[in-house]
Amino acid sequence: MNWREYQTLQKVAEVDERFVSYVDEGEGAPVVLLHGIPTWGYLWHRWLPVLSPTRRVLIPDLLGFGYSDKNDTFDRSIARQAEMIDAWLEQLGIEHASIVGHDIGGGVALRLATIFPDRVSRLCVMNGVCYDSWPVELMLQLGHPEAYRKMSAGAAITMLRPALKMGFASSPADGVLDGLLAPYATEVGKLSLIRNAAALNTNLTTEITPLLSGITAPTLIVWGEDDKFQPVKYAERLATDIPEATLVRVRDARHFVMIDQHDEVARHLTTFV
Amino acid sequence: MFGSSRLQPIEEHDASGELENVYHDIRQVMRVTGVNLNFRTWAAFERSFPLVWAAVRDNAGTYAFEHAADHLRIAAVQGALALPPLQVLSAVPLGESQTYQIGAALALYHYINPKLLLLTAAIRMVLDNDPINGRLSADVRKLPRGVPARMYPMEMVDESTDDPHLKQTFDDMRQTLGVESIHSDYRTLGLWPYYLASAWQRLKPIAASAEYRGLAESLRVQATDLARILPYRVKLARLDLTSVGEDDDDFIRVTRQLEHLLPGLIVNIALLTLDGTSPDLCMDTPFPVPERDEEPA
Repeated sequence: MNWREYQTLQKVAEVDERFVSYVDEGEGAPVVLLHGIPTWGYLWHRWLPVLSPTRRVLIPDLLGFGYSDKNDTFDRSIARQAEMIDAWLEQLGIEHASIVGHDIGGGVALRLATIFPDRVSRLCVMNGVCYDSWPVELMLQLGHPEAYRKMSAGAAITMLRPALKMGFASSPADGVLDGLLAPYATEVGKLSLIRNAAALNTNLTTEITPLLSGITAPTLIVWGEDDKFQPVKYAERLATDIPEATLVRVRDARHFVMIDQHDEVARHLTTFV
Repeated sequence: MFGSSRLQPIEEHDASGELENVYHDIRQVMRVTGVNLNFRTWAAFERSFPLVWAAVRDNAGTYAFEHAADHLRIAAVQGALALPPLQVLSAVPLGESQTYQIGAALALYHYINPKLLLLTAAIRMVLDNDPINGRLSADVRKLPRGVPARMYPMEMVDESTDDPHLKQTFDDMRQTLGVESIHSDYRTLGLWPYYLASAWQRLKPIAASAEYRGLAESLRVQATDLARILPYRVKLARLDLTSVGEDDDDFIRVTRQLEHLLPGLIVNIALLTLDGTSPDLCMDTPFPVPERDEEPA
């Protein structure tokens, strides 16, 4: 499925005066898949055929990302994103769901599990941000008001592309990279990505560190061992701090573990959720 | 370029210094998320553009101006109702979110284009020695400045796109309209290439009809009449342009071309809006201005 085909699957919800684009496919126990930066819901496109035959798969684009609202007048922090997910699920009539988060989506998932615990039936963090593991240097640069602002969107994408590639153990197909970066290839998209990067804030995970021991949802931590952005030591720490956590270390995988070792991760995830 | 071998519109991200400030002011005063092609084209006259904007901004920031633009929008929708319906949305496979966003993008241009026509008419008139002296009985209350919170961002695809489908549509537009630069509206709708292609193919034959041309001409005349009764005198003359060393003939030629193209654009956006919205809703401004308790100046 290319990114344009994926786009046609997206529905829309208005949440607190912002709009959220999301995919909602399949029936069964709900599973929410959260992407990170600089990606969007398309990150999970290969998971639709894996999960949707037996589960209701919900994949939102976080605020400011993908094809959700990209206006310049709202908070894009992971704290706000968690509030948005909570309100969005409420609107859909979903009391609780399995929450799977990657990168900053992992940070959003952790905030949901600690601050909105009733919303989370099961928690899965994949190479997610936590503690003081973030923002990585590249994202700090991206969020600097002057660094990329005057660069054309095309030039910014050209610079981001090799950095994004570093998150993969083996180079993904061009179509996947094109798709992941597509929403940011316009000036508005580029500016939105800069604002998203500027909103990255370590304090929003460190402040919930004392709450991790209170997470009651069964938790799966899946981590690409060779991730340079979010080293595996953070996964080990999460597995220690969260009482019902199981850690799965995935070999020959970097940051984008769900793409690098799709089949192996699929086995773990389908068993867990 | 806009009908000239010399002029290159200046994109928002390329603006710096005084121009960057003017662009910011335009977004605030015009209540819009981006800077339309009119302004980006005028900005190529780098020394005169700040003078031109300064001459019209007081009017643009009034309730009188907003209400005059509302009048043009209503006239466009009323006229568009007599034209064949487009039925693009039902012809193109679109997702729910895509349809929602197209509606939001159309609302942006349905709102701003009548304001642009009014402003362009005012500039062209004073440069043609047809003075706008100001009518102080008009509603001179100042509009709240700033972009409406729910307005869609003016997101645009690159004109030199490598998407073959989109490139074909843009090339056809350039040829049909006799322009080099694609209007912001179409570049935004280019985010959904199949929608834009279908819309354009349906608009082309309608745009060739006598009814359509009559409606466009009527909007142009109405804009001139409405500009004449704007509240503040527009202090701008050819001498202002030549005194900063710029070609006044070139500026007026470009302005006339913009004024010539805008009525058709307004009708097209009205037709596309009517495709997914009831006529009554189409006649309402998509972004009503909150009333203020300010005494007239």
